[in-house]
Amino acid sequence: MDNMNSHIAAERPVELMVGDDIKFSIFSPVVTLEHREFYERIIGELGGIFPICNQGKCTAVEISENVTEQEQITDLMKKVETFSFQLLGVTKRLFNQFYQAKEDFCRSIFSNTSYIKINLMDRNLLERTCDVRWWSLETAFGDCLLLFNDLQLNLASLSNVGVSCSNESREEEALQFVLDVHQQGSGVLAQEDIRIKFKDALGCLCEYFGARDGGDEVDDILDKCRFAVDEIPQRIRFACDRLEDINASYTLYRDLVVTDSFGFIIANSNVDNRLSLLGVRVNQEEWFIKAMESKDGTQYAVGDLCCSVVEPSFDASLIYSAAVRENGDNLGRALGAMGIFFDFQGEAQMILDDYMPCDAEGSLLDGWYSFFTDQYGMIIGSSDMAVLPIGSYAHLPRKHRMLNPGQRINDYLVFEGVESAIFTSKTDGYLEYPGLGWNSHFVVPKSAVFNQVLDTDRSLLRPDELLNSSIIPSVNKETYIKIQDDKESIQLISLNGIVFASKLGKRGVALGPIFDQITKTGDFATSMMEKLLAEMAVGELQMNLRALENSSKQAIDLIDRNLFERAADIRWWSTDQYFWSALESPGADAFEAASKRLKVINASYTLYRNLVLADGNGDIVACSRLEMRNELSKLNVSDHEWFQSGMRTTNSHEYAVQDVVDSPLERTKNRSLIYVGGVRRGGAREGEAMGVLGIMFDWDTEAKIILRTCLPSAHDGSPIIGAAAFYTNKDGRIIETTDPENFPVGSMASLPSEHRSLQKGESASGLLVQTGTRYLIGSSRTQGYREYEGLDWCAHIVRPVDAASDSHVEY
Amino acid sequence: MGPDLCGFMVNGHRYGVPVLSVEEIVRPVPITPVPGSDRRLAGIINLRGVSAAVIDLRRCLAHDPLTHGSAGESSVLTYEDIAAIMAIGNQDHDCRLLLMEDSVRISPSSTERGIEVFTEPVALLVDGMDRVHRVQSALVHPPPANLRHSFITHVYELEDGFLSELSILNIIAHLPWSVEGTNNGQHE
Repeated sequence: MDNMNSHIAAERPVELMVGDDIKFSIFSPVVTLEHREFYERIIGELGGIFPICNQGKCTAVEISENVTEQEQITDLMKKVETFSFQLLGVTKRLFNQFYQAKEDFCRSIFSNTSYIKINLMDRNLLERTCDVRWWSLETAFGDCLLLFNDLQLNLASLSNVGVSCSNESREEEALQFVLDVHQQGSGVLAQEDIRIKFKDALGCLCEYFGARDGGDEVDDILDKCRFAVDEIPQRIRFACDRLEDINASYTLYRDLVVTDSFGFIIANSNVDNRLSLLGVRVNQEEWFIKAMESKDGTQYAVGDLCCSVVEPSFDASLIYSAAVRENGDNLGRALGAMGIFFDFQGEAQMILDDYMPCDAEGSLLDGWYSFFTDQYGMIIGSSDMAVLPIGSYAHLPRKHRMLNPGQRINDYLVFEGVESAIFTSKTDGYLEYPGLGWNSHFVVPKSAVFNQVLDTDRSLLRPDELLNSSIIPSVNKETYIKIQDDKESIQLISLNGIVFASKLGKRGVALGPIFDQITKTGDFATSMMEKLLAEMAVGELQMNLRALENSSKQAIDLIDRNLFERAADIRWWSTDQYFWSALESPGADAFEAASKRLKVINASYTLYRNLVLADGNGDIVACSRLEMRNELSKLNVSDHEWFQSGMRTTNSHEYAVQDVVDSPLERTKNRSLIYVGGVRRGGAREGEAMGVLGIMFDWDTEAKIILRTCLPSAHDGSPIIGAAAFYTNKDGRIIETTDPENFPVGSMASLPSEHRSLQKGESASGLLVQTGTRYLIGSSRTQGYREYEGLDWCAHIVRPVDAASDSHVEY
Repeated sequence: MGPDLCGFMVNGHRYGVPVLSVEEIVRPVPITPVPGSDRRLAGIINLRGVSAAVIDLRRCLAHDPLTHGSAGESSVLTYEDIAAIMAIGNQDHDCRLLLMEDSVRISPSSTERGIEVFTEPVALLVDGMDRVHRVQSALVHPPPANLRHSFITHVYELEDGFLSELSILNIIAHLPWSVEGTNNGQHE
């Protein structure tokens, strides 16, 4: 028995806590009062062990004269001291981990939120670049510009004509006026009063030259000019109508303008300021210059936010521009420019106000700010105009103003007098859109990071289950095991001490209470720590649930925004001349032309699998996939839901969509998502539909891409094994998934009731059991985007609770 | 005053042996299985020079013959058993070994107080430790009459339930034990 007591110590060498970087000491101001008290009690109890051990050592001398026995007791006491000392270290580490875990998680959530915001913006802006290129090729604009162009040429040949009589100052004046117009550019005639004066001047000159001999040539030119001037209002009207049509379909723009090559605005979409805008010259503005410099129809221009005479009431306009080319041809001569004024402020406001916590009355909580800055650090969008006015510079640390594309950083700072954490992300663009070097900043009060109120009612899992699950990072699990281990060691020493004491018979009685006290203290301290660990686990769980909710919201937002664009596309295309004229005067040639037009559209918008034109009887008369024309022409779709709802639309603002179905239009695909718009006689904005245009969105591909972007990742950014994302339709049926094995398309997900009954725009999180596996799940129901209401779908993101490789050894 | 009992858990029940018959309680140390031996003997451990046979009380006291083999049943360690023995301590953090006194090392005072121990060192493999109980003779009951074996000598009524005192000697008597052949020679 001599070396009995050295056994345990030899087996488990004392681990010193050297090199453990304790970031959150108990004195860190973020540590809550409650936890400090908790800590004091654990330390107090453990501190109490040392005098007890001393007492034990003294008792050893008292009760036994046998040196071996004394040593054995002293050894036991020393070991208790060692373990108590270790527990003190573990306690500090535990608090550190507790706060570190909170910090890590908040960092990943908030940093992600900040990135999502700028990313949503970038995705939107990408669509805008497609828009401007596509619209500028519309023939209505080219036709209108050609007229001005010809007029300008005719005026040029008038410049060598002289008026020679001295008493003919009226004619002289008229000629001067006409030449002035030529000097400025014929586009100035878009202004009505100038046009009237110009017409008078032409009339005067006609009289003058008509009365003279040899003025036939001049007469001829003047006639051409008069004819052109008479034609102007009609052409302008038509161009403006088309711009209005576009803006009615795509509600993201404040205005759309077309200019001639001199920079005179000759058409716009906004009726309210049309009178004051037509004939205004913008040749000094960057968007116009860049558009005119573009080489072909694939190029577009976008500048940073700037002022424009088009929108005098806005300090900053975001303008996309492209050249308007002859005959709507990509390679045609540039006749003028088209500029589209994106509703940046409105869009930014929508994005910035999202993901912000509100109080019971629905107003944003104080201390939370979300704002965009441009590449120079100037605020261009803000969730709080009073604190962070647009156009000013926020007080940000230098490095938050100098990020690399895609970089994300975070810091603690005092923001507007509040201890806060700031999360900044710089744009990395989206697909081929490079972004404008903007930053997204998200400021949250520091208290929101560290002092979350834990909702203990929502204990979906027992703390011990949680601590063994895959949700808890392994470093925290190690602490858990270490605490358990130290607890067991202290218990074992006490037990052996009691066994030992009882062998001493009556002499050992004095040792009994000492070991009892050691057991009690060890139990108390470790149970306190377990409580803290449990709290940490619950916190981690809630953060996970929140992260899943956020991801699901992101997933549904992204698809909503994508589908909004689809709804805009269909409304715009169904007003296209090719389609209504083909339905008005049916015939092989007209259908051929319509098919070709569909093919051109489809080539620009690759996220459609097919576009079809159906006449009023439900016969498919044209489609963009020319190779399918034969097959589809045998199809009658009059009993299809999408066709019927498309035929029911009564104006061009309306569209219809059929939820994901298996459609005979696409025999090779199991799921089709069809958007449909009514084609009206003469492209009118209101009236009965003559037929419908249907577009088959490449749903599987697009949805899968979005779902994959929204999959959760661990603290270190690595993917979580077994995590999945899927969409369900209004019936709760899965319509797209990243995990066809466990969440197959077409099946019903066994969602918790709270998730099934989500209201528009709401999110929830909870526990889901699917095919025997437990998952944490976050769900969000569509909130729609602008006038697109959504299809009542939900996005769900899940991650498994239990570690995948968990093998049990049977005894 | 009755004897002090060292309590432990086996298969969810509480058992105990006299504290004086226990030498030390340790966390599981590596057990070397002995192929061909009875399933109720997990193998041999070596604790600071003393070899002890490990009696797997979970098997000896099993009541579910399908999972653990019934009490008194004699069968040989399987390959799976051996794998399980090697893994002891990795999965179950609570399980413990009770190293028992043997007739050579036990103190004379314990023998005087009527503590009986086996002639050789043995260790008991249990699911987890309880605590040391000071039991009153007034609360002692005889073992239930319907038991088929004589492993339990007394049943004690404690504040928080019952504790059955085990006779390790009776358990060993049920095992195919060759007294002569297995002595490690240290004490003879």
